[in-house]
Amino acid sequence: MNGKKKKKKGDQARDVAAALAGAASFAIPIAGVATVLGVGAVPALGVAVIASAAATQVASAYIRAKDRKEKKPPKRRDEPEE
Amino acid sequence: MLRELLITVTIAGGTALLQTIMKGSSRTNRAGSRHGLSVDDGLFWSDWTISAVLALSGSVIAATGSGKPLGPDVGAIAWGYGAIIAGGILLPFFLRTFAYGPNAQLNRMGPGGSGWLILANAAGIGILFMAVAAGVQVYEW
Repeated sequence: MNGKKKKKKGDQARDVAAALAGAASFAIPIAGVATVLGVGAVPALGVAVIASAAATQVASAYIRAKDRKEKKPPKRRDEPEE
Repeated sequence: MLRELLITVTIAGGTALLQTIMKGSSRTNRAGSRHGLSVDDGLFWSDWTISAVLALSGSVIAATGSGKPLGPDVGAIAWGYGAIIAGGILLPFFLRTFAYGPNAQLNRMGPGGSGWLILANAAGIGILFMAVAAGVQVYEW
């Protein structure tokens, strides 16, 4: 039980780390291009981080919901037929 | 700068199309399909990240070879290599965790089921944009 709980926590931590990695992969290029083009780096970075973090959170929520749906056991069909 | 970014999009899109045609024409058809391409053949983020490395490194080497001091452009170079590192380390971890299911199958997301394909390619083109923008700034006199 305890081991299972620990694994779940580890999975959650990995998901958060992966979501942050995804956010950074989008935020760094967006903020960088904005900086080179002359838009302020800090506002660009802020917007990029928020937008990409929101996007990755939506994506991960979608995947988790799909996983839950797939893991649901099929309905039992062992009722005797008449 | 916008002209250079437009040229980048055209070249990236053109090479991706050519790559797809070459792959498609070199393969036999899959069972029940009229072509041999799979969903993964539409992923170009890794190609574009490698192109970003070549573009930025080429610009830096050419600029230093011409005797241009890189001091004023060190920020742009740092952003460029930062984006490349993100594309090489962070993006694969993100895709492995969320985009792929068991058996290395790309998950379906969005209305057409190609959400992950679009997301991964968008990140790749963003990294290429960053490298080109930094490269142009470095090489401009």
